[in-house]
Amino acid sequence: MRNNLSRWIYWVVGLVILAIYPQVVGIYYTNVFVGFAIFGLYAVTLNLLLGYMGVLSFGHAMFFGAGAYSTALALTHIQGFPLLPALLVGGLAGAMLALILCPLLVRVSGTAFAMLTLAFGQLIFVIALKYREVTGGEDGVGGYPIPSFNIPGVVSIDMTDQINFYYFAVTVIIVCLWLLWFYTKTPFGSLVVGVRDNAMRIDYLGFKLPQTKAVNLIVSGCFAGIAGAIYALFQNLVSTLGVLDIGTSFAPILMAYIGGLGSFFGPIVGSAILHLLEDVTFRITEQIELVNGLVFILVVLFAPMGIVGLLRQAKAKWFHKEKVS
Amino acid sequence: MKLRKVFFSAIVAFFCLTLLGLPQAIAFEPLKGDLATFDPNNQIFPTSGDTIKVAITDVFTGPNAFVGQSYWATLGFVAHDINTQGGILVDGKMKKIQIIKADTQGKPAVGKRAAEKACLQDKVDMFEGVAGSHVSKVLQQVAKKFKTIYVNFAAFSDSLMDVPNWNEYTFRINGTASTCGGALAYFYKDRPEKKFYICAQDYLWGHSFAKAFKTALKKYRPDAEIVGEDYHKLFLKDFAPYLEKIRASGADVIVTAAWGADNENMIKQSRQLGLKSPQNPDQYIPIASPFLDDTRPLEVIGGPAGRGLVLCSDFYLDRRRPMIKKLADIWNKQWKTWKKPYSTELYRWPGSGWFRNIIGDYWYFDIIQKAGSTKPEKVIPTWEGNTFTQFDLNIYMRPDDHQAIMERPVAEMVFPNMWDQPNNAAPGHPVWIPAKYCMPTFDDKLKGRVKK
Repeated sequence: MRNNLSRWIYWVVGLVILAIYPQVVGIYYTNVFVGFAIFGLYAVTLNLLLGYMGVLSFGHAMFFGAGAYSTALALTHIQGFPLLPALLVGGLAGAMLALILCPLLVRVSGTAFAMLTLAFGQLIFVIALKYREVTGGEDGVGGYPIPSFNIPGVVSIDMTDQINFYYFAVTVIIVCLWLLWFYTKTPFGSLVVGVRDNAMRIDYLGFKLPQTKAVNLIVSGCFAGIAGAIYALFQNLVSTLGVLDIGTSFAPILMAYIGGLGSFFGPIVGSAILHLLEDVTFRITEQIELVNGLVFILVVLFAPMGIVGLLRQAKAKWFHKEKVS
Repeated sequence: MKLRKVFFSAIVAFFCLTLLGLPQAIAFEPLKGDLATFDPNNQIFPTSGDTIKVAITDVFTGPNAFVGQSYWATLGFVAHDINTQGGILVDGKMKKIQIIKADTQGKPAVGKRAAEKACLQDKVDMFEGVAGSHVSKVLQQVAKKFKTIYVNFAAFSDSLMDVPNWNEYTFRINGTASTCGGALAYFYKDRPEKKFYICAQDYLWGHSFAKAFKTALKKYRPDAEIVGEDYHKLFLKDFAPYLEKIRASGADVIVTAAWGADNENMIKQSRQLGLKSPQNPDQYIPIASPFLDDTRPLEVIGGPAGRGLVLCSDFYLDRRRPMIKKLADIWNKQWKTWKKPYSTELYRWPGSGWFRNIIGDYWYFDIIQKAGSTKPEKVIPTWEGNTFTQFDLNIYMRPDDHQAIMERPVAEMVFPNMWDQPNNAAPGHPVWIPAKYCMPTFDDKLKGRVKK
């Protein structure tokens, strides 16, 4: 009972902080937060594969990029395209791509899965680069109109205003994270974890292994696509470098490892740490990648379960001490 | 009594005239400062108080870090010149220039954040850059969002100054694929070479440049022939298959827009494979490109092998023009005293890119001096339709889309050269292609935007 109450208090405090955040920190840090939140969601979708299903994707940017490009192209070519459908188009594009690739991807695991996703990721990258009549090549697609959040007859909120966009993006991301959290807690979510721990046993138990993997991959792709769609709305530019390149595929891996693979919130913590670190580092030195790499090595060496794992260990230790005393 | 009145009136009138003349008297002039003390490695700017803040938003890390370094040197040079003259009179105060680095890492998202930090936290009056049209698109949006002047020096895509990318806070100094391709085609209008082989990088810039060249060639030299067209992948190591095709085609000139390692490898390998010019068998085949002022590959192939290469850049130091000669002399004299990375050949004389940055910066500072303010609402109307005439140049800022219009130099490499470079060929006196033959594209939607 008390646990439940404190959880509610945490949630309310968290939401209040999120609500007043832009007024307190100003536009620059508001935008930094939106960037962190987008990558937080994106990293969680990778964690659905890496942490929950036990397969490492080196090409996760293809889902993110598919979402970003489809939203950008829809807004560019369809006049008056509304905001929420623009988001859904992104999610749908990520899901569709995952659906197309899953017959191949679900049949492999381990290194083969990593290599296959890397290959598909690069393939999509090159297609976007070469099909410049549609994608704009390296220059990308930009300057498209950002629609207002519109409920006819009720409200119309200008999304080019950065504060408004912050509230919109944070709301969508929280809803997505809640859905994903709920998804991991369903029996199907447990089945996915079972696939990670002992795929053969799951198979022997009569569950359909490829289909289970496929559904998880599609869910991951769909939400990565939504993250990409929010990114497209946030940046008002989508180009291969930034949404489809290898760096965009590696970023969530780094976030998930640093935050903690074994936890749902680990990748979000990882995203926060990397964004914060980047913001602090680039005031002092231009060698941001070097600092990120160093942090990654330190985490792998001294906190293999990530920061969240480290905190859990510390918490367990303290509570244990209290009980003993 | 009357005499006294006249005397006092004369004094008052003289005083008023002096006051009127004051801004002119303390106006800065290019190259009049104490440039003998300029060292890009040890630049000191006022960091507090009322300053004119300018951010360099470009790449400062990784293999292309030299791009940001070059801005640091060129903007630093201009700032040092003006600061040692006392600064610029803006908003009723003499203000010195302060430079801030904002690393884009060549990525749009990082570039956006760096530019936002520059606008919101550092509160810059202007930011400049940037390598890569995709990054420029993002910076243009930042400029619009935070109502800050952004000057594009290095993003070449034609569409950047078209709707919807265009906005009133963005100005572009550099040329575009159309201007480079147009100027080069016009250069060959009356020359003996008429067989061209296009060998460009397989990405948007390479294709746009090739398209612009072909279109202009058809117009200015209808009897010319494109004997081959290849687009190679970026950062290719082995150009031999392409070069053998070029040899077999009998091309007089290789037209490329390759930069960086591709530019270097293509030049070196064409010489190693012994591709000769069909028009002049004593020389190697001419390669025409906007990026041949990079002295590194020219040094590797040696002076004689560089003869006949054709540089079609936006800006080029023409030593026949006195102010430009003065600038080059000052720069080269100082260069000898600098330490790494500025002591390398890359910085020996301001290449066209370096020169473009210097001119662009002087122009911006000249504009704020004329506007008497750094506020965009005063800078924008002052710059629109302005013509920069210093350094014996004549650059016009097209008011409707903020694109600089100017004649373009095309120069053949000569050896020995006039640039105190004993180891390589360097551009000779350029042929100036009138602006009307190498105009940047214009979006008709912006026509008549400015009622002047």
